[in-house]
Amino acid sequence: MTEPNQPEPQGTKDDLEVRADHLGWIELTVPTKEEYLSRLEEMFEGFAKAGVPEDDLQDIKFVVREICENAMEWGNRMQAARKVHVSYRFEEGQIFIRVRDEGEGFNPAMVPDPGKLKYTDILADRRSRGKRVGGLGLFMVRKIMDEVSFNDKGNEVFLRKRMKETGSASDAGTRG
Amino acid sequence: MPNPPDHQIHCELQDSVPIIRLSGRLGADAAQSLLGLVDKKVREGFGHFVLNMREVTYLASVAIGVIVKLSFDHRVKVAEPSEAVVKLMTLADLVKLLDIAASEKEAVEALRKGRQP
Repeated sequence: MTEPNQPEPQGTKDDLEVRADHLGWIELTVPTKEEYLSRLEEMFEGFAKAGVPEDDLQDIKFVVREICENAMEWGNRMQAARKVHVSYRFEEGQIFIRVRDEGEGFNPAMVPDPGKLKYTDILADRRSRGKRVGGLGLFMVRKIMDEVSFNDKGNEVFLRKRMKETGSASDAGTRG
Repeated sequence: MPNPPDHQIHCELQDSVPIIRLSGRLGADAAQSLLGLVDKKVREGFGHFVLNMREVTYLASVAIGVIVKLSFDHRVKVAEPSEAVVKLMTLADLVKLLDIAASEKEAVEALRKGRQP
């Protein structure tokens, strides 16, 4: 698989900033505004041209959107001045993604797990605490990705997914 | 210029059953609109709904949560769910909570029968 971006700075467009480092990480930085969720998805659409299988691409886009929505809403508390930083890197048929917000962080262990509790009970609990319908995003992300972990502060999530081997996608090599 | 809406929600009555046709990408905004529409219909006295999801291409987790909530709170038939809907609901382990009908007609019929004593 060819790499979706070269490891050089890509410049800026609107308030979306793109940077690359010498290790092959591409970092996209966006303000906390809902419209940038779609912009991020558009950026990830480019992976299709690089040979990422369609199923994997849909999964990756779903995960990035869910995690970035959480970062904006719960991490950055929808404060536009706070940024969300999304980095990705391909290596040996896997994609690694990091998403960091500029909030106070959270304890993922405190998030009720729909895999262990009845979702309808989780909904009732959220309602009693005045929270909107939700509580599925992280659960679904964990099911899609091969690895999901957080930094100690809880404001950065690390994700890894091995992609299906189809055509050129299996040729993805180590970069950096 | 603002982006065009990425989803549509239409409601019509068929044999006194509200049919809510959803299409496009159902994110947080769409989920909120759907909740608002159902609340309005409940205030009008309806307690059963058909959600036609044939043309839904994407469901955010919050939209999945809303559909499960509606199924929990009311009599809801999900008609003709698209492949994307079934895939994401299955991934969330929640597809079993949905009452799925193969067609809108079948869904309406089932809800009408359910109202009879």
